[in-house]
Amino acid sequence: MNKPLTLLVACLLFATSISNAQSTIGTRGLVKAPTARMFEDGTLALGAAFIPPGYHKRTFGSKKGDVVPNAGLNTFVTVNLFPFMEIMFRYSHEINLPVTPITQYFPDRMFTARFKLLNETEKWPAVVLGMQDVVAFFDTNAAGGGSTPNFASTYLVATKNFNYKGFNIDTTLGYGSDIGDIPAKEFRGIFGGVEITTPYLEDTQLLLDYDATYINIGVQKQFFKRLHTMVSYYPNYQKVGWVLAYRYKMY
Amino acid sequence: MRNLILTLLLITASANLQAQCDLITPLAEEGFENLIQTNEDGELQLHYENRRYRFEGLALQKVLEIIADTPCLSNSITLIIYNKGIPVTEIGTTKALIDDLISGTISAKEFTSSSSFDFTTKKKPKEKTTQSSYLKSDLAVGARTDYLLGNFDNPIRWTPMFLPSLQSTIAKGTQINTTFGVVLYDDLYNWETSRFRYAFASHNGRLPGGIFTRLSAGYFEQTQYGIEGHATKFFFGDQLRLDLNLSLTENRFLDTPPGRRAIDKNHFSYGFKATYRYTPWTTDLSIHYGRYIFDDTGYTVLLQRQFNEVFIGFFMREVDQQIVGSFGTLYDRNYGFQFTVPIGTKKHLKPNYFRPKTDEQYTLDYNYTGGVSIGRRIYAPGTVIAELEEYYPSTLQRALESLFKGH
Repeated sequence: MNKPLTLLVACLLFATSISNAQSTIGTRGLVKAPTARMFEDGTLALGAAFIPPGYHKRTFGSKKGDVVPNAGLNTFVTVNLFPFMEIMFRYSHEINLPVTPITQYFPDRMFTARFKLLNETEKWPAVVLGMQDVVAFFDTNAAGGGSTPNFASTYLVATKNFNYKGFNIDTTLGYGSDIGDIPAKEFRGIFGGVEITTPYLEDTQLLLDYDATYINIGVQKQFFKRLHTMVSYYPNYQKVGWVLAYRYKMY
Repeated sequence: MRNLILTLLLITASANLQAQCDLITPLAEEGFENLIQTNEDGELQLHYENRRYRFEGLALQKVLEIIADTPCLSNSITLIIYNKGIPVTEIGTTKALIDDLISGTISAKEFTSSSSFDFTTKKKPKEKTTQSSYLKSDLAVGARTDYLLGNFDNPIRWTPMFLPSLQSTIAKGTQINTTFGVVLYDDLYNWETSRFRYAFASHNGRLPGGIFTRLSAGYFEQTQYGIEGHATKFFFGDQLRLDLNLSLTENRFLDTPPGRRAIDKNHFSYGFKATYRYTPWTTDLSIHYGRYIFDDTGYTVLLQRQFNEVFIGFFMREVDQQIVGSFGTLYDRNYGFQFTVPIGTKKHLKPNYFRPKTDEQYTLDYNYTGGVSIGRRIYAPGTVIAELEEYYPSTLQRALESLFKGH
């Protein structure tokens, strides 16, 4: 078993409030890996995530899909449209790259839809089906991005909550793969992680995930139940990112 | 003798309490209009129109609080909610239920399931109206953004504008609406200037059988000048809605921008729309088929959820014309999403002969695959049919459940 997977399994073994994380990809998740958690029906989250250099991939042109020296900024709006469905619309920007006829750069747009298949019970975890960059399913030619979505991924993810000596540990395990002609650009294979809430710090969580490529670490805190902040650390390249999101309950 | 005295005392007390059951005074003081209160056979009917609160749900909450604060003997209470002097929605409940709701003895869900919510078939009673809403004007300021994804030399093409408008209800169901557009910036159309956007008069009505109607004439958005008509009928409460719209217009500017010539061509447009509402989630699935105002024919499918004052919807349009989007890309279908959010204050100043206020909603259509000039219909903002969603029985029920959530 490789090192990241060993770490993930170790976390699951030690693993235990319901998670609060708003991931860097814009949906509910850990640092980057999605979870099977959803906000309450009618919750809207508006936010931005800074992706450090070395992690952001180019979304256009001949270097499409390659990691580039520029940082990225994901700006997103996420809504729990129904009790069983979360949708997210995101712009993925490459920082320090202007939109001009010379650069031929245009920010990437994407939709994600996530469906809750099972609610968590005492014995069984919550299960969610995620369809990231869902435009791929409709074969719609996204402007600037060409017909191939940059972040397509179809995955199944399960999340179960445990309590251990006052620590709340939310554990997640998922699997993503290609679906038909749609290749998985992210979360291909096993991914997962934990969100740990200690009894000592209110509205604060430690996050650790494996996104099927890298291990990511994050600390998040919520202010006034509405403002969500996260600082993320990427050990592979020793870079730091962040997420800032505002949550609003429409009902 | 003693029994006679006791009976007389009880009758006097009862009459006194009945006299105290004056809902008109506190509601008028709060700014509600077109108020009528009747008491017949132990049933209290209260007719009111709200222009004080931005959202009808909030207004209903206030009315219920006022009823709970007022001693009334009539246990059966019917509320009839008006718009532009037209009775729209009816709520049948009891004083005991209202008292229990306000005191927190029962939840809003118990209140809504024990009360009846429906579109009303009642007519306006002959009794004198207190605080009429007629011949009063609102100067409202709203905002609008026309938006389309651009290309490499201009990624976002948009035209933001402020929309000061003057709206007035002249008589029962009859209103005028004039709106000026202050263009802040324009790189979408490249010709747009600050000008009058629309000026029209509408007559709203409710025919026997509960059919809401509207007939309007004047200048509308998209530089359309002419007449339009609209009819709406509901079935099974608000679960099924059928709409028919017709318009005969031509392109004409009310206030022609310099260098812009109006195209002299008549448009006859029509449309049929069927909407199914899944009431537990106040979600509408609708299909509209028709000929639109720029001579394109096709259909629009819309899935939209209403969260009280917020609307989020996803649409798909297909017409008999190719759709030009950003980068000059041609599309067969137009996909996108739209949202409407409340703006301004939750509570306006009391209605008066002239009242400044903020507009109530901001709407944005996001066309994912281009196409700002297809699938367009005549829009008559501020009319009864345009505002009906706020008066839906399921909307009011859900609003109470969210507003009284802490109870």
